[in-house]
Amino acid sequence: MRLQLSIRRRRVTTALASASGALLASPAPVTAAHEWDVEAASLIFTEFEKVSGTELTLSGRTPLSTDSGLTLGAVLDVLIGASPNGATPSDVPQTFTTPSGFDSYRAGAGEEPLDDTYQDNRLELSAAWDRRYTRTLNGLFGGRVSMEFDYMSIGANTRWGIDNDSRDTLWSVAGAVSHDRIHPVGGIPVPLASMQPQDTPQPRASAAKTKNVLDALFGVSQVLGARTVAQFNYSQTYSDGYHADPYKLVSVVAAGTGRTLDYVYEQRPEKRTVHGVFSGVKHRFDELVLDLGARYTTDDWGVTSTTLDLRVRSTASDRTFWEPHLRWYTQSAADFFRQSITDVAPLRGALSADRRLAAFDAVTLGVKYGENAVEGEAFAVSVEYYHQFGDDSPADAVGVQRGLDLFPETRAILVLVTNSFVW
Amino acid sequence: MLKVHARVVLSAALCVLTACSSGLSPWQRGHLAEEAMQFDAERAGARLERQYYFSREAARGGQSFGGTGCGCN
Amino acid sequence: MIRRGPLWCGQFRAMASPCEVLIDGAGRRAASELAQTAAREAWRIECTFSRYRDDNIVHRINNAGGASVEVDTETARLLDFADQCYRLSDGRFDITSGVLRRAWRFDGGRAVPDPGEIAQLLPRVGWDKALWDNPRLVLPAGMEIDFGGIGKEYAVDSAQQLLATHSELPALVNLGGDLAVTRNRRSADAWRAGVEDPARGGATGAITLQQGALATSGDTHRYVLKDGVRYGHILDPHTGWPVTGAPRSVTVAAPNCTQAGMLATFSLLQGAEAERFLQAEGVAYWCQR
Repeated sequence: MRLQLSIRRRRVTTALASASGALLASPAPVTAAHEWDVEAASLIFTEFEKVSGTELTLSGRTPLSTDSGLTLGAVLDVLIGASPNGATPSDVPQTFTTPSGFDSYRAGAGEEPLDDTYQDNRLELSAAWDRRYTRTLNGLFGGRVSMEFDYMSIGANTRWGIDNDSRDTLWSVAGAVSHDRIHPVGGIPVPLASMQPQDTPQPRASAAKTKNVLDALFGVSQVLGARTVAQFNYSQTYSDGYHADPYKLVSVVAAGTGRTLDYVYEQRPEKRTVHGVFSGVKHRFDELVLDLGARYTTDDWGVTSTTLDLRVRSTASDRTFWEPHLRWYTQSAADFFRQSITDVAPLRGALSADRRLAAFDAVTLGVKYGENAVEGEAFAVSVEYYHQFGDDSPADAVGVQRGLDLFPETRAILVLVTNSFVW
Repeated sequence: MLKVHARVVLSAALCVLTACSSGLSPWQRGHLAEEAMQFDAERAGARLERQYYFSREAARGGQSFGGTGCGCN
Repeated sequence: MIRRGPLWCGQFRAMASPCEVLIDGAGRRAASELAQTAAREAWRIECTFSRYRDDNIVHRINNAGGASVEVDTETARLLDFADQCYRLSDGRFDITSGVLRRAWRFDGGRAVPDPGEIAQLLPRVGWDKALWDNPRLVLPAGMEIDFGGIGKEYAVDSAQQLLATHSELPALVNLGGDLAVTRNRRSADAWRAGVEDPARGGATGAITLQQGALATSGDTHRYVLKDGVRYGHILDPHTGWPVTGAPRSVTVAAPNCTQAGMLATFSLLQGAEAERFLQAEGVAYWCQR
């Protein structure tokens, strides 16, 4: 037996396969019981002197058969506080008309103008049906509706995954369509028209506007060894319609003094295409898991961004883990971003002073503590500090603007609690 | 041109589907099965954080869909 | 039933080993019923084929005193399988070799039996001396059969088949480290199971698999140590002496647990050549030396 092993390769295995096959007899199947795998999460954040918010989400999946399942989800957002209205700080107090046109709010000298009537509640409901078609092919179809007092969105999405035979490579393709409708308080302002004083009719173009969004996502994740997995994604987001924020203003300042003369409503392009690539790798060391992600996005508004995300999870204990987190983000400004414009500049085309379209950097520092799943229950809490900082004295500042902080920093504390359980 | 593109994509796909097997046996995949080794961009916590960043920054997409159905940005 | 991540886990003891059944998904009640189904099957096979009972077919065969015994179809299938294993291993795997254990007490001590004692027992060993003509078996008086080398793996496969018949839910049956799964997990995750890892002093290590079965042969605790030579509990029925140079334990992956277990046992019978045998067979394996 020993000497002839190479000649009789797999002889024994093959013979045993048929012998054991004869020993064991064969069967036919039936159905499953229902139960929900639930994920709950809450994110509470507070931005110093600005907005605070709570986002709650609850979602659950129940199997419909061995190969398919239904996922139902809800998200509730409650935001309250003050939001920057886009206007530039000035060396004198400023007064703004609220979006309704029937009230006003003030910003002190040198202060960042904040609309303190800002509040927003949002409820999103979603449903998705997933199914495994073969051992390596699975698909998902979903729909969702999102409602705010001034915004409504309905969407549908699909996601397909195919594993290679050894389950080392997973290809995914996903797509989503969304139809959004905005009907702001007081209506849609006429772009680039001046804000009017309180109780005077505001320049309104219409009651509501719409936007359609198409998303495509291609991804591949690959097992690179017993301890390493990597992922690469490409995404494209195309949107067509009303992109402006109807509550955002742009200050018109005197070219010589830099003092504010007027406020106009912003205008953004009707179309936007964003390309994004994401690459992530996870490596399991003996007592650590290193999770590194990098993302680059670019769009036809002139915004490019880079995000680096680093997480290190200690796996020394079976039951609990600590995970420090560092995120670094940088973006360039949109072509039509101006912190303010001067009265001699032509007023046409896209124009926005929304700080989210400015050039800035942001850093997130945080730590997560988690308990690994026991009897289906997992729990984690993370505390993070988010700091956004841009150029507070840009080159295009004129007159009194030079002495003012034109990019007041955003600092926020985020507390995220996640819990999963079986119901 | 389209044909050339299709051929390149197809051959790249075939390479990954056939040749890029890690050769790992099932019992060598213990670490890969761990929760910490999953790419889980669709978990509840990750979605909430993404929505926060979406409402504060101009970038979208990359790891997941760019549209969120939220009027926040 | 306890919850282990997305899995239900039912635990019980059978065949002197801790056993568990893992079920992916389902409610507690459905999972519990499946676990009990598996446990009942393991206990049934233990009762039917244990050599320590006096109310089963094995007892009847071993106490027939040379008379012909007609067996049921399940026993017949097991005897057919044992017969093929005997041939495939050139007589090294032999269900009649159990009587040699009267001489060998593998308790970690130094008691090597007197060669004369073994010589006295050897005539009572040898499947070739039995007359197996399905469904009738004639075993010479004084000889005994023992399904110990097959029973546990057979129970794993049998329970696995029952679960696959009763439910579409993916399940894993683990009888003391020999295990089989019914189908892939609902997610892309692999199955994970705790097994004894001799390299870590018997501590529990984790093994994962997507489908098929794993079986382990060898036992780190059952041996005799004499003059620096470690005699493991795998006996060569030709000599009556333990195979030397074999790994302490071998784990093999195969489509079913019976096949995996037999490959592991065959490799141990190869002694020092165990790994070479497994490599030549091209099976996935794990050796502990």
